[in-house]
Amino acid sequence: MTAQAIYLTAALLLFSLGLTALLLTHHLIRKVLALNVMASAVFLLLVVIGYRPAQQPPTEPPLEPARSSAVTVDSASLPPKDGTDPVPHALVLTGIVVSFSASALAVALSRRVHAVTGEARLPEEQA
Amino acid sequence: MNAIAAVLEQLFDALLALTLVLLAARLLFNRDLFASAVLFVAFGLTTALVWVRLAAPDVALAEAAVGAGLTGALILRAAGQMSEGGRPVPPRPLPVAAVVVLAGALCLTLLHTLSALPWPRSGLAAAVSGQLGTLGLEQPVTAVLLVFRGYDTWLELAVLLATILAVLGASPAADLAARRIRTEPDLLLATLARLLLPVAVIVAGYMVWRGTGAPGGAFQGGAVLAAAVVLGYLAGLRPSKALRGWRVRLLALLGFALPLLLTLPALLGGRPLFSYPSDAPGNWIPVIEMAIAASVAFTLSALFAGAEPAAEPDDVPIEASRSAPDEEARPESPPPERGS
Repeated sequence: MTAQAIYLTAALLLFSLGLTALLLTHHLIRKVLALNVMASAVFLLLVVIGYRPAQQPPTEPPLEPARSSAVTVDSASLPPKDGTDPVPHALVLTGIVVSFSASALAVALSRRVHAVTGEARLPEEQA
Repeated sequence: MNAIAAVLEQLFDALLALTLVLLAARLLFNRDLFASAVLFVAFGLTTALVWVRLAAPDVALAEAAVGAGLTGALILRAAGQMSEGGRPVPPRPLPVAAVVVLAGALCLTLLHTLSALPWPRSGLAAAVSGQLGTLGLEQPVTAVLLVFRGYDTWLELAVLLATILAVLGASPAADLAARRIRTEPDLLLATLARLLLPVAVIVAGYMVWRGTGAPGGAFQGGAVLAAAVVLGYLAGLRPSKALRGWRVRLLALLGFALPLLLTLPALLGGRPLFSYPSDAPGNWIPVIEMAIAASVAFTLSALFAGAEPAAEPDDVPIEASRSAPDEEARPESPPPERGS
């Protein structure tokens, strides 16, 4: 099983779990949590699609470049990232920021519902 | 030796993915909402680790600052103040079974579709890295965000502008200064904020400044700055009294319009929107990055403040449910200041 297959499976499971929770839970903040998990699953899928494992046999663990880049000032020491597609990374980067703003709007609306009705769920789901 | 390392890496990947899925299941189907919010922060940090494993350090930085940090703080506060009031809704067996079956079917269908894709995909990596040299940039993600897809990045600022206007409008008092981020006096948090705020500002500036050559950039730096502002809010700082009415809207609008103003020279020179002088685009990009970072920092922190309830007389019971036990534990502590 390659890393792609592992994380692809995880993304599918996360999306299904999030969708199930979104439909089955009633508390509005739980629905926001479920939406965030579903968004993470989509981001994971995008990054996995852009992921290319290193070509050379002595594979460098990706943790090391990330850590060394924070310490060293010389950018020439960074490994070339030719293999990995930067376009999905840019998409996910903007997606994370947009996902936060959507969550903030959802929380603001949920708080309004809570302030008006006194309950943290939609009126349709009072049962 | 290499074979052992490869097996260990796969084992690590499998454990990381399993942790992620189990954390998600636990946070989604947990009885205690507050525990779910705490688990969500853990979920965000685990996701950041996955991004590092998948060679996406830029995304990892943004996830740690925004996904785990800002969203976590937003949800933690909302979960603490919106208790699961009312009668619990009894789960109806038939819809539960139907949803679970349908979600499982969706999962299998997606698996079938995705496995039919050609792997590995060619992608645009070669096209991007071929252009990097002529741009004077070393960081491909920054090049995609600010040069190749500058228009899309600008439209993201439009999304942020629309959201902040909607968040401000979702409450009766549309002033940011009217938002009361109620905190209890906490010596530990106040001291921590005093120590961390300068460091966070320096880290944010460094991320923006280094964004052309290393993982980091406008969004990550702006997010770290926004997280610093939110930490200040939680430690007792208030949104400035100056942030009233039209000033908030003007600042939000300025964050959206600043990249457009910066691209005016290009437009007047007959070049396309968000294009850079062909001789040295690398000199212009840090300026644009700082504008975007300031815009992102203002908008994200304002979104956090805007999602807080406005200071209305009738919103006191919202807080009462969670803060009551804490106040009993420390009877000598002064009451949270109101409206100062």
